[in-house]
Amino acid sequence: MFEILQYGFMQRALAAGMIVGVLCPLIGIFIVLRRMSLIGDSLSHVALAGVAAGVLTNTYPMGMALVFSIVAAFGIEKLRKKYLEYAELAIAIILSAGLGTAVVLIGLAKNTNIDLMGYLFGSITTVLKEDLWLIAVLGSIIILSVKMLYKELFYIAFDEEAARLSGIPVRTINLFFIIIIATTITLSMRIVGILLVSSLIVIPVATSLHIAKSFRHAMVLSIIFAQISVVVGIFISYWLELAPGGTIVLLSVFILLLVVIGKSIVKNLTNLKMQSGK
Amino acid sequence: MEKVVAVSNLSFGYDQELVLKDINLEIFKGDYLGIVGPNGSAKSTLIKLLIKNLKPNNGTIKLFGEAIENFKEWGKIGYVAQKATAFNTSFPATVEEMVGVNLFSSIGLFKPIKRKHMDKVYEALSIVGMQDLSKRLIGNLSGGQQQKVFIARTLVSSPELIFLDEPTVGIDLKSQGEFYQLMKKLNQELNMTIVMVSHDIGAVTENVNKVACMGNKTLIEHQQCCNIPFSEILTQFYGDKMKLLVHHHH
Repeated sequence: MFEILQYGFMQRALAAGMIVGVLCPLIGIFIVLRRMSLIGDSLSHVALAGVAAGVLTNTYPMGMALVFSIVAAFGIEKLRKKYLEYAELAIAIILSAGLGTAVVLIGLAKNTNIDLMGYLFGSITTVLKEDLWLIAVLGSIIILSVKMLYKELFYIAFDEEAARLSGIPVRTINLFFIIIIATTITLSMRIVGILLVSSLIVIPVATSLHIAKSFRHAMVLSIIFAQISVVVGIFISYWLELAPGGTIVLLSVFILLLVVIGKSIVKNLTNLKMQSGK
Repeated sequence: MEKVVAVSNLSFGYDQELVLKDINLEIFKGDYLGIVGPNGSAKSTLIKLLIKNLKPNNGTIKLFGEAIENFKEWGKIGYVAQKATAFNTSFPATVEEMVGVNLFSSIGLFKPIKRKHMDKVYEALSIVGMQDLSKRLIGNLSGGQQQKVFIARTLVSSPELIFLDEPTVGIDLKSQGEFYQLMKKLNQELNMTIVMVSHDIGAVTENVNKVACMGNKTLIEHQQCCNIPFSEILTQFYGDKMKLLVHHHH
């Protein structure tokens, strides 16, 4: 059953998937709690524009995607301050700009060899050794950064004004965090694809919020749920010859439904027990 | 006596219109100052100016003798915002996680919260009587309990001066009573300087040792507690239909 693990492409796919399965929920919990859940969609569409620009200019597409999404992330942060009560507008504006640019650039690049489907839906089985090194190095930096800025990011997510008053350099940390988001999205798009990267950021976190007893608990649970989705999803997609990105995301939605239904059943059983005990 | 806040000729406005004009105020260590005034009298605005959330058009503000532009010891100052109890109640944070993060000023950037820091958290929680609920999710507390946790969050950094903006909004009467008892304890036993904005003139005048009335872009300070001499000032700001009735519990 596990003989596929002897194949290099499968080993790289699992390694890359597991790193991304930590990164996405790790930043996802702060994104969801700051009501910026659609930022993944927005930046991934901008990353697509970056990929197309990279192909057109014969530059490393992942590198261009990273540059484009970081610039767009700064744009979101700047616009967020203009639309304080409607933070989602900033995300929607950048998404529109990114998608429009992507469509135009892809149109211009139609005569060049661009693996559009691979970027849109993920191509985890074509992760090269160089890609894995990039994911591992940048991924380690991101994990270390979040570990070191854990209490600062938590405070900003809960109460930005109080965080500023306590002395936290909110503006600088927000700018740094937005770079981390852009980097995570660019790294993740090879695994689940541009269309689905937002799902891996949001859904494991949404699942953990149903049962978490603390913030730390929510963070750990969301990483566990993401890991299960990625690892089991990769195996299932291989055996059943399904698209890996879609399989991973569907599995994460399945886990969410299981937890929601499970919690409801436990609650009803507890109520019944209490009533029969009276 | 140490002057903790000195405001001199302070003016502030949004766009062209001034909402505060030539405000002067001195707050000394150990003061328990209540700031009252009708809606629109810029009470919250004054607090925001004092915690550097807003920048004045004119005038000076000094905190602990230092001009606010150069003031760096923000750990000495606590602030409980008006919207403190109107936060995201589904945020998955426990009471101790919520209180612990305000240790930032003593722990510093990049460093984690360690077990030794938690002693300060439990100390702050026991001052407000919430130590037994430290593991509870903040959203599972009542309004009064949440308010106490927000005060504990402010206390954990051992401030010398606390600003509270409408702290009893949405809190039931019993919890309000407990809140004012707590404020009295902080002021009298821990010698904390307290500045509280409130609509509740009766409760404020019963508890504080100094009152300031705001309105018509001005501030008038009045130094006494529960008796009424400032009824004329109230009339000036609230209109002549306002009359303060004092009820003493025996």
